[in-house]
Amino acid sequence: MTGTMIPGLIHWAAMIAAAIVMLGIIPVAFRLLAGPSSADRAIATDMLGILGVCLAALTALFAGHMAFLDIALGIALVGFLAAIAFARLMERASAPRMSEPAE
Amino acid sequence: MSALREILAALLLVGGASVVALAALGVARLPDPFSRMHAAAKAGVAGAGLLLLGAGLAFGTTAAMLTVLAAVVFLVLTAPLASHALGRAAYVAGAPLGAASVADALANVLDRRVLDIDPARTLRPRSKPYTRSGEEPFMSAIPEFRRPADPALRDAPFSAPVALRRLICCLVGGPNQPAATAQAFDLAWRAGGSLTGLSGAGLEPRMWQGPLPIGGAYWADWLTARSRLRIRENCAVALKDFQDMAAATPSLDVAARHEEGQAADLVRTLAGHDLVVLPAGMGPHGVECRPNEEIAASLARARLVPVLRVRRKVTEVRSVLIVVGSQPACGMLATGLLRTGFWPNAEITILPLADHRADVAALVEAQAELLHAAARKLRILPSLEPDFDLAALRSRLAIFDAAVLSCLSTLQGGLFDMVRNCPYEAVSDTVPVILLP
Repeated sequence: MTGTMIPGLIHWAAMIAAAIVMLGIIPVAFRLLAGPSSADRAIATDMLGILGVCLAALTALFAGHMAFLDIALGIALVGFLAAIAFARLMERASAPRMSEPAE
Repeated sequence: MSALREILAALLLVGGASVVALAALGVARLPDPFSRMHAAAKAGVAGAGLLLLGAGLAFGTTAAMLTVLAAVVFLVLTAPLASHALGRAAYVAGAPLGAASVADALANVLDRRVLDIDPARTLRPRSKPYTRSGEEPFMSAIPEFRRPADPALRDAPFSAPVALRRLICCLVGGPNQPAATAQAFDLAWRAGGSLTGLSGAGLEPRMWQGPLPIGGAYWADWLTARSRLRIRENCAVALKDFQDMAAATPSLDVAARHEEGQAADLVRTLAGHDLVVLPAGMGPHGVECRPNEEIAASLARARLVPVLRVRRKVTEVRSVLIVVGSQPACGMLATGLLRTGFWPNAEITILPLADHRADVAALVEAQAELLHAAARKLRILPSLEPDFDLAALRSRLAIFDAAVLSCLSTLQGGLFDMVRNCPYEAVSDTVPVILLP
């Protein structure tokens, strides 16, 4: 980072933020593994996508390269599509089955 | 100015990260999927937006701010959509409501599946088993077929012949239909029973099932209409043939009807009949097909009524072949033959398939004993190995007039369809009349 007025402030703030976000991954992972219904797992996956956006933005700060911000944008996009796909899947899977023809 | 920007960026980074972590904690801790989703959608997006803004401010360039603003706007626009879709899906899929929820506003608006993990709702009703103990397991799935219907017949030995009083002849068209009709008239004339010609039953037009490309619905309808037209033409020809023959034999009790419906409806129509006569080679869509897809094959699989599959009319059956494989249904072949009372003077030949397999030798022995007891002429051929020569088998089979099989083809089995030569299929291609008891 070029020309910082307060040396190390952004770096340390990013470190603390990354640690907090990493801590946040643990309960989400618990919900993803344990969540009794498939809706819980889908929500946990959505939340993991948001955490991924945050980590990508922090990686941009650590690496000092703006391209990781674009990666954050991409993760947000894919997360949205994944959530919609999960929702469609769950809704279709719970639709009443067609009756099977007897032999 | 720059120092202020950096302090603000640092505050936003840490604050955003804290909000995101709280949202993650909420996803784990809140009581039901809907409140968990509320944590993920609102707090998660707010925290991620703050953290992104902080990152953009920390960079301080216009490009970074623009990228970050685009990401934040995208998140804010899509998060409500995604969580709405997920919440609706969760509700429909029957995700349980938390114990503290006050009202269910969608109670009669959306269909809701009942999840087993929800203690507040009753479990899905378990399907009752079809069979009661002591009853034949395959006869009782359809109430009309709860055999034996006649209490007088209940105590009769299982192999005692049942009079073939009511025959049914399926008029489905195809090259073998005249032979089948003639055979059915011959049988009804000998047995002195009644004969019903049933056209169209068991046939259904070919429907496209699956995804359709753009404009594909038109062609699917067109194909179905074509298929239905062809079925009707075939049936009309067969029905006219049948009625001509009925006019030629006035002493017989003959009825003809036309029915359209699914193959499943045919099964109910068959209740109360003693034998079904079908032409060989006709599939359920009114076109010729492989033996394992035929109407006769599916009827034989259902095991409701004995099926006679006719390829060529045979007036006097002199030799009958019984093919005994390793399936359990093969143990009932001799019983079924004796029960129908067919071909009392014919010589019976048993062809075991691969008698090194378990049970085949025992099945052959039991049936030979049964046939000896019924005073039939009997011969047992050497067993047919799995790697037999198809042409040689066909030439050996040419002397038989009729065969008793348990199924028409077993070609659906086998890893990667490795079994290329199916003895059942060879028999059903060669022998003119096949009884599937």
